[in-house]
Amino acid sequence: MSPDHTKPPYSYYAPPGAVRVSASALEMARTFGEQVARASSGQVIVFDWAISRGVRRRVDGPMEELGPGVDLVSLDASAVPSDVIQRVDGVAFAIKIPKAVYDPSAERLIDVDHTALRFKLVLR
Amino acid sequence: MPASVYEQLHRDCLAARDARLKAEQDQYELASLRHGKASFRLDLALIRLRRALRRKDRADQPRGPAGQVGGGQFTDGGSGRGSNPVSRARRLAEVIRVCVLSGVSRTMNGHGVKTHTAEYECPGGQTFKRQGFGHNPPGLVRDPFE
Repeated sequence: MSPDHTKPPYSYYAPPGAVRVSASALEMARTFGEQVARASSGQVIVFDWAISRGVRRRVDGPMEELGPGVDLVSLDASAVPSDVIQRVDGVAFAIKIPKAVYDPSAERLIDVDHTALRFKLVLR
Repeated sequence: MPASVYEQLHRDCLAARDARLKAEQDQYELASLRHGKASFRLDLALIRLRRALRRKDRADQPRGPAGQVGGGQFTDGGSGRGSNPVSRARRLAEVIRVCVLSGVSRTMNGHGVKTHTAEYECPGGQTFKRQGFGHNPPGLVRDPFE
C-alpha cells in the first residue's frame, strides 16, 4: 500500500523523484553526512525546508533574520519514513519540503548558490 | 638571691594555665571555622535546591529532545556551567564543525500543522534559530556560517 502523501509525516516530504538534487548539492550532502557520522550513528541526511531562520553572530548580538529556505540537516532514522529515503551516487537522503513549497518552484531543483551569504542551498 | 621553691611552682602554674588557655582558644577557633564551613555548605545546598525547584516549575523551559545531545535535560540558554546541555552542544559543534541542537519549542496551528522552533549552537560561538515542519527538530544542521 503506497503512503498517503497528503497526511503527516509523508506530507512534510517530497516523494523520491519529485525534486531533483544538483551534483554540487549532492556533494555538500555527502560531506555533511561524513561530519554527522563522526558524531552519531542512525542518522538520515535531509534537505529540510525551514519556514524561517535567523542567525546570531555573537551571544549578545542582534538576530539577523534570513527568511525561509533549504538547509542540510540530520534526523534520527526512526523519525524519517523509509519510503521517502532515496540514494543517489552512494548518498542516502530525504527531501523534507512540502508540496505547497516545491510545486511553485520553476525547476524543482535543489542547488548550491555560492553567492549566497549564508546557507548556500536554494530551491530553483 | 635564687627564687624559692614556692615562687618557681607559682610561675610553673601560671605557664601551665597560659598553655591551657591557648589550647582552648585554638580549639574554639577551629570549632568556629568548622561551623562556618558547615553553614556555607548548607547555604550552597539550599541555593542548589531552590534552583532545581525553579527549573521544575518552568514547564515551558526548553529541553533537549530524546535521542539527541542533552536529551530530556533542561537547557538554560548558555549561561550555565560546563556540565549543561548547551555547553555540551557547544563543545560538539566545535569538534565536528556543524550546528548542534540546544533547545526546542513545539506548536500546532489551528489546522493541525505541527511546527517546531529550534535553537542551535554553531562553531565559533555563533548561534542560529530555525522554524520547521513537524515536532522532530533536526539534531544537527550544516553550519550556515561556513
